Amino acid sequence: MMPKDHSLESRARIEKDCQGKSCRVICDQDLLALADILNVPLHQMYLQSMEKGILPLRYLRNMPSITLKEQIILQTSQVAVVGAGGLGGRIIEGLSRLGVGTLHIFDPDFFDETNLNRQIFADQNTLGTSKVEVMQECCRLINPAVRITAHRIAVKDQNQDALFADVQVIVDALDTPDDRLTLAAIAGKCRLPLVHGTVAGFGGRVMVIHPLDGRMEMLYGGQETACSAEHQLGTPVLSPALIASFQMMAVLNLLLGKNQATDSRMIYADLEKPSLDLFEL
Amino acid sequence: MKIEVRLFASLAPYANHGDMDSDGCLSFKTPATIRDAIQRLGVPEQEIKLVFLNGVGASLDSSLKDRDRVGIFPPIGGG
Repeated sequence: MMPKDHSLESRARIEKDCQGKSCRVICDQDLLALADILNVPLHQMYLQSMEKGILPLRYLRNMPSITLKEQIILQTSQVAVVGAGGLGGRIIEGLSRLGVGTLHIFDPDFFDETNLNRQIFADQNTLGTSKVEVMQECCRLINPAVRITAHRIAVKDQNQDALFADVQVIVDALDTPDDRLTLAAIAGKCRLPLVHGTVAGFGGRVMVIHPLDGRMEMLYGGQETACSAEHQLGTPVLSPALIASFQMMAVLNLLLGKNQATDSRMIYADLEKPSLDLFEL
Repeated sequence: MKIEVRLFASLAPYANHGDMDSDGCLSFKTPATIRDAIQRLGVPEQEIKLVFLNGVGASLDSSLKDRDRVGIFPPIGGG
């Protein structure tokens, strides 16, 4: 009897991408089996496969908008998402599907009924459970090649910068001005870009804040006299879904260095009008 | 001069003002600043966080010229 071939090549097959171009692909089941047989961590197995030019089938529909070379960059990238609410949940889910290799996620909260209107992992079964722990578990099922470190803590202290030592991008998915200012200070200290997003009503804002550029202070600094718009308009599901997508695009641009990754203009999108505007701050 | 004034998020209802034309513009016969524009619409200054003139950050004291576009935002912080 022939010995079984445990090479990636032996498990690969040819598929056509949406442009009809042939490419070698491998399915999750084979990657899981090979990782087990060869005693290689799963995320390494995915990386080895892509480096041999064999695309995990799960990424076939990303092509050619996200190329094989870019999937490799994503697999070796680390991103921190701070806040796992309306924006954060969708961003964590999306970055998992995109194949960002390592995610560090932060939120001290547990799901409650007021989250059910918009937060993607809030449901009857998860009420009362830790948001980041639920997301870690769900996203492991969505994409086992993504390693998720769940931190059930608030980021409230500028001295927490060691938590961000290995990441390339930080995502601001918080909901209080003070925490956002602290996070911007940490990002500045770590010299990391910060992808800011926020929502109110049917609209929201996205902006890449570069280290120590002082623009988070423009958004949230000073004594606040006015009621913040989300307290007057609420936050129905449409705006977090939209703004989270813009934030994920900014993360992709930063990680892949494309599409004007250095563009730091403020995007404001309003679904109700609808309108989309760019502002320089 | 005609000035386009856009009021975003929770400030949008202030645009429902008799002085605004159907294009969302205010008309001024004398020189004016952004502050003059928002005072005419009755927007309380303490509700304003960001001010833009032709898409670039500005202040309430910025002078206006014909066909300028003004954008006004309240604080926004939901997540």
